[in-house]
Amino acid sequence: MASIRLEAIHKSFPGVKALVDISQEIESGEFFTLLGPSGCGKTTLLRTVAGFYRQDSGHVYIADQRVDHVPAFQRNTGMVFQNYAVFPHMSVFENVAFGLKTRKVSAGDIKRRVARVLEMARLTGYEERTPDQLSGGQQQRVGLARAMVIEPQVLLMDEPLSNLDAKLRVEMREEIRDIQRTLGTTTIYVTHDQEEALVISDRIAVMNAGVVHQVGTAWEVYKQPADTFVASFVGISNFLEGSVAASGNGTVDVQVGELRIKAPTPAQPRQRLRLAVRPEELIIETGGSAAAGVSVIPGTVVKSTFTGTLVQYLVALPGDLQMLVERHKPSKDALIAPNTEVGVRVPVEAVLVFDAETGARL
Amino acid sequence: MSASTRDLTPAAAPTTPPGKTGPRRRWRPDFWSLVTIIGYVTVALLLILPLFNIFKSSFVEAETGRLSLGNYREFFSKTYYTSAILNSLLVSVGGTLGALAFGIPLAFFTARYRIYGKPALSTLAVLSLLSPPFIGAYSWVIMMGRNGFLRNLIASLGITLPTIYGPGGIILVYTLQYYPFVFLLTAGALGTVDRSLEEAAENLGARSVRKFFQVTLPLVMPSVSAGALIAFMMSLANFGTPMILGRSFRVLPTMAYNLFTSEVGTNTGLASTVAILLILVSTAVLFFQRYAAARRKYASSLINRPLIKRLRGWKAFGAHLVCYFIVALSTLPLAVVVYYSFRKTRGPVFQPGFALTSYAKVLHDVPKTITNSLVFSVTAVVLIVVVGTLLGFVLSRRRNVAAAALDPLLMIAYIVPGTVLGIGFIVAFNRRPLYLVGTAAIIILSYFIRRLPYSVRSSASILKQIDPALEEAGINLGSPPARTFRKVTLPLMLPGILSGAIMSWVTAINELSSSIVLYVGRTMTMPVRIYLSVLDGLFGTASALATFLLAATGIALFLVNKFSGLGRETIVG
Repeated sequence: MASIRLEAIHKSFPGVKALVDISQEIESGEFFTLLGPSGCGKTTLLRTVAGFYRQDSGHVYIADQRVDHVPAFQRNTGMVFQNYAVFPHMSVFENVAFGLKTRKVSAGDIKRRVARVLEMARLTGYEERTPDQLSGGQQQRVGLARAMVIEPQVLLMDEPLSNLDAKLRVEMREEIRDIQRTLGTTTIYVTHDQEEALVISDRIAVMNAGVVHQVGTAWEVYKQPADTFVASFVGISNFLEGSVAASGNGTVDVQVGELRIKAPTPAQPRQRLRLAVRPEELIIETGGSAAAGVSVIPGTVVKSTFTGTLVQYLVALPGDLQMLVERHKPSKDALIAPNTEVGVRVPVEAVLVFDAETGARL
Repeated sequence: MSASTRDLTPAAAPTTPPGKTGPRRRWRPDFWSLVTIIGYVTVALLLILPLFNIFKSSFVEAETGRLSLGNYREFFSKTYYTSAILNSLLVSVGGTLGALAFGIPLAFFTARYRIYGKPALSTLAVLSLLSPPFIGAYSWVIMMGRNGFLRNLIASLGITLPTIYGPGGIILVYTLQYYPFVFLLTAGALGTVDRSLEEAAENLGARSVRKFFQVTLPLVMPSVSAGALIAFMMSLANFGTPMILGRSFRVLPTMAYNLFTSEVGTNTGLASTVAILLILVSTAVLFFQRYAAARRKYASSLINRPLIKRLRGWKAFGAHLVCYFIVALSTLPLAVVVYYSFRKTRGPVFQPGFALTSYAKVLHDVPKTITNSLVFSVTAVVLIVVVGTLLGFVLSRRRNVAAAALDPLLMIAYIVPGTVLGIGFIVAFNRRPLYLVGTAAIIILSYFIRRLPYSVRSSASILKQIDPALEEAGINLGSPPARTFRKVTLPLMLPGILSGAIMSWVTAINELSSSIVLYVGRTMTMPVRIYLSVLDGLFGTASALATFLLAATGIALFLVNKFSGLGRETIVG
């Protein structure tokens, strides 16, 4: 178990700034996820910790040891690769034993440790299989067992589930989480799948274009996004742009085109704002009137999509705006047909307010 | 749709396509059936018949003409003969190991590290691979023969070099000529090893040496062994090099040739026996490699292309030194030949200074060999391209037994050494109605059949990359199969065919081991003339002709590079 400390890390590739001034503390035993779109630098950061890339400046500490000059094969990190990287010319046993053999562990210990880790990965009985006889999920479990068996100081996982089908992905992420909890190995996990990140992590770092936008728990990055990028990347948000028209009592009225929306912020008069509202926070209604502290926007249903657990409505608003509204547990009579005139209620506390210039949340 | 009222009109329901009348017959020979038949006739006439004749004559006693095992008994009772088997194995194994020792490091360094001048290194390696097969041998004689300049130079430093004649010299020449096979195949395979496999090894604590031997090398082993196999087969079949450097050291091809052409009374029976043994050895090795490689084949998903690392300090220096040394050593013989072709000569003796006397002499004495070489090779290439492309199509697109069986039959040409094929041709085509001995046709046909399997395979593999749906679309639109092939498939194949044709031409114009058996005075080719000149000590003439061949080869390679890049496929077939 070891903590990881990243200090002012910069890394450029020809023509791209891959990592910009990354400083981050990862606690011992923590499950820490790097989340972001492809090309955001998350894999580069992971590979920098693994020692496959050398940062241009800054320092990497593992267990308070500076490892900047330690080559990859001596860093004692266990890496799980996106495409498994299971050695095709070795059996399952040989794959898992590889790291132990390079560490000159005795044959008896190798047998014992491999057996234990294979049991944990639910691969007992597969020792003599070759990788081409395994399914994708099994291969990835070999990859995980192989990384775990060396008892690494940190576990590094580079989109380990992205090559698996949807159902298996959900199963495997539970398994990974359970194994990590049991062993308590500090883990850095890279993914572009925000749902996966929310479910699996202790903390998440949301990255874009080489910059960390926010670090926080799943609740924090979803409910209190630090800026518009996080609000748009983690979950779905309806964005509206406008400026402060009137303020008072901890709320402001924001003029968005022809609409007025109440938002909870001490913003300056006339300040340009960007508002974000999650679709599930909005309430769609076919009749009724405005209540205090609630904005009701008139609109027309353009499209309704039934997904099983909920209905999504795309609603056209005055001034060429559109909003996505979700309704959970819909009853059949409550389904709203396209072209129906509706009202969309926007609860004040559901409105996230960002500065339109900087994108930062106010 | 079928319920539409228009269907009720009787005229609107054609049951036979236009142009075809009557009911469908069970088997309708189309154009491709004809091609398949031509393929079988070719194999029967140019491979099976000659080999069968050799096989038969190996059981015929020279004096009595009776069928017996006498030739085999004779062969195995005298160490003079049996030593040829051991000698052949010695130089072939030696040459193969040398090729591996040179080819693997060169491939690894150029595939994984930044090496300056990488394209030039590959081009020079390929040039030394395709240079006339015995130029290396002859050039090493110039450098390291009894009065060779390199030997004299080093002797002046007080060091006596071992003789270039005998197995050591032969192995050296094989190594320098055949390492490019290992290099090209291995480098190609290294380029497809998923990066994360090597990274996983590193992540698990393996240093670079361990990583290479336990992960990288095993993964590319199928390609390494394929390269080694080619090196071995080429070494085993090589005729010119042991002829020039062997002296009393005899290998199977030279022994077969000597027995067959000896002026003291040819012994066709015994020569055939040697030929059969040679074929048996190469077949055994081929099957062994196939067996070994078949068990280890790894599909590569290739999500992460390998990185090319930049080395620093002494590591960079070392890697460059290794690469440059290997390529320089293999290019040296070519440079020497070119240099000597421009030296002034008087008769067989080199004079100080430069002149074009050797070239003038070539043009004056043997212009016919140049035209022969050009005419024979171009004719052969036309045949190879036409038949090879059509058969390649049959092989890859027609899924029937007749087509499938053609491929292994064609592979016979791959295991039969040129000298053996030459002998087989003479034995098979020396009486009517197939009297071809002494004609240009017999040489052209030998070029043709020896290169045909490569051409068939390469066009089959080109076709694998062309979606059959394109052809189906053509046929669906009413174009008959042959026309569809011409209008749709062929244009798509053209770049690949063109480079294949040039490679075939390069091997044909440099061919020695069959033509040395098949030539007569008026059908002499350049390689044969070079070989004879070397034997006569006319190094100037030999150098001039060799330079001519080298230039032709170089231009051809340049053209191939323009069409499709000097890839592994174009060279190895």
